[in-house]
Amino acid sequence: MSEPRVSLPAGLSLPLAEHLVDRALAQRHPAWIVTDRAGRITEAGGELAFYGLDDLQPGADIRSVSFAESVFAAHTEPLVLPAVRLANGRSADLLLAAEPEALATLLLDADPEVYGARPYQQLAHELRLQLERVAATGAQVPEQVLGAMDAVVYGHGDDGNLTLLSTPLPWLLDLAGRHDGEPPALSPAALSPFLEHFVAEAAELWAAGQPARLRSGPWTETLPDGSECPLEATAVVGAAGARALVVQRLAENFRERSAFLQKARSTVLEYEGLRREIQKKELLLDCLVHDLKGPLSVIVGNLSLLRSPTLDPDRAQGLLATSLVHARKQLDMIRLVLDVFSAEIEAMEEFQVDPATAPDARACVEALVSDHGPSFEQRGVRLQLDAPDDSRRLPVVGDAARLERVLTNLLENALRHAPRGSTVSVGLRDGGEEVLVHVEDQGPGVDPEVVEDLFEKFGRGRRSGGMAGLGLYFCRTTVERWGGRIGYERAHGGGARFWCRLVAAQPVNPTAPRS
Amino acid sequence: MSVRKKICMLGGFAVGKTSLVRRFVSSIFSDTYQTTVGVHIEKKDVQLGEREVTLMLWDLHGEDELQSVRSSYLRGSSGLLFVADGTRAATLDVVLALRQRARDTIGDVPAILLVNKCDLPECELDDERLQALQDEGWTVLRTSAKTGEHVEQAFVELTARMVAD
Repeated sequence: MSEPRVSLPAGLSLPLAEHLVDRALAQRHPAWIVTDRAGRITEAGGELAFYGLDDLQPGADIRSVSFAESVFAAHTEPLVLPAVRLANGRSADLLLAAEPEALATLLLDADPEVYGARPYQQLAHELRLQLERVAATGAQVPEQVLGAMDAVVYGHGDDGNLTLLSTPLPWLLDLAGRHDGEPPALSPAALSPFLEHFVAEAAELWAAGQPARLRSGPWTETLPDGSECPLEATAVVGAAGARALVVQRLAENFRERSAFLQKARSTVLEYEGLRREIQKKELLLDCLVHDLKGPLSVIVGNLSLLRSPTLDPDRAQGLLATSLVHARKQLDMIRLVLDVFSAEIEAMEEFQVDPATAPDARACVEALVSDHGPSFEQRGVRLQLDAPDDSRRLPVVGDAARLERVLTNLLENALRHAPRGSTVSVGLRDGGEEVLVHVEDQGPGVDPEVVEDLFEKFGRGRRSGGMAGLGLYFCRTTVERWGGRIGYERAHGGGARFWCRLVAAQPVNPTAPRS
Repeated sequence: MSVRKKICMLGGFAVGKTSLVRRFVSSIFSDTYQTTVGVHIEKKDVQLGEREVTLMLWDLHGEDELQSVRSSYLRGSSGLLFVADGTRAATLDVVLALRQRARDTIGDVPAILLVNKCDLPECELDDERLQALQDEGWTVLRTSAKTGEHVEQAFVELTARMVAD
């Protein structure tokens, strides 16, 4: 008769084995021995005397018995060695089970007189059913634990296949996708490309068979409902060689970790932003010192000369006039700096949108041309107004004083680059919803390389060094805050043409929605 | 028949790797910075002439002192997209370190350097420095996940190189 080998379900624990003895096999002279991995008996009980093994007490060595080799050969999948002949002449079925820290042996009487007429195959079958039933009952405990941990376990077989051992949790089924009439594909490779990749990485660890653990690190899957499902996988080889893959849905820890990283990195970004801002401010400070120092040096020098007792009155007047020019220049610079920073800080500054109180672009342009005409003439440059002959107001969204500053900046910019004998024209057009103002000179125009950041703070404008970039930056931020636009293009004649599109102030319709 | 190719997105944190993937896959962009923890994989089919290529886009977390990219993630990659933030010059150093690590792990595979956030004015990576990288053999594209500039082009260009390899 061939000897049937009855494999017990994987994961059978020692308490389960004891349960088996109590419940199903009491009539077969059960006895059991539990040893540690070194073979030292830690527990022994039942009818050991029936098998002539009553000297096997805790502390004794299992190697003294004839079936010791089988005990040490027990693997993670418990098995039954039927009808093993013992030293006292009796035969016993040996049920062997290994756990990470212990080896368990159950002895059940296999003598013919005990079996009676029942065929051994039948008994083996019944035994297997009993064991599976008990194992299923006992498995509820780890199953519940796995569920609480939001984890599933795959067993890694000798054939390299991964088999789901635990109950598939809802997120696993969601991940697999629900298909009517078809079971979901729950293999790791089918579930996720990341998991497929990790299983390939873990194959080496499983093949080595040494107790070890490899974690995948977190990854995130998107479930069919669009929610994100953070997961982590762990490949394990247990002390007894058991190989498994644990896939766990990450919850609180992951959220905490994410929040920590988010905070830390946001802080770094803020720090870097502040550092850059400080660098800009330092640059600005250098510019201010440089630009304010120039006029002041002239003024100080002139004042020193004025103290000379031999100075004639005409010369003194000249020095005073020069000092006054430089003092005003310095004042303009200070005003510009204040404008730039107040433009940034006072983002919510009020401006006029009502046509009745909004600044009149026509009046502003005409006044500027009139006021600046003499200073242009002194430099040998003609300043002309290029506007239709019309006296209607052109109210634009904005603030009168600041609009004047914007256009003055453009005018001064043009004067700096206009060659002697050339003309600077200031254009004004009514575009319906917009009012277009342009300032065009006949200078060299803007270097194409710097056009892109012409209106940025410290953009490499047409001037080198000093306050370069601040003026046009102020113009842009101011005009844009009013809903308008500002830009540069090359003039037809080759000079520079700066334009502003200002939003025309329209009468407010009380019934219309306001943005 | 579609072939499947793996692309890893590599770079420092907050350079816009996730934004680039989202722009390419879903044509969406958000200004809100949301750090990536671990790995997120997106899929996108690309048609290259007669061939259809299914791209598996591995959006890896940013490299910094808090999270280091595992070299094992790179295995099986057919191409790499390195991403630097054009407004943060230091992120290019991270890219160069990652490039070396990738070479040590999987050898030379087709790769492109994306200098992202090119829509922002505060550029710290100037043309001279990028030209020097191109002279070393890098393919460099200035991209903006916000405006979509060069994003599609970057992925398609890399795919074409992977398929040709």
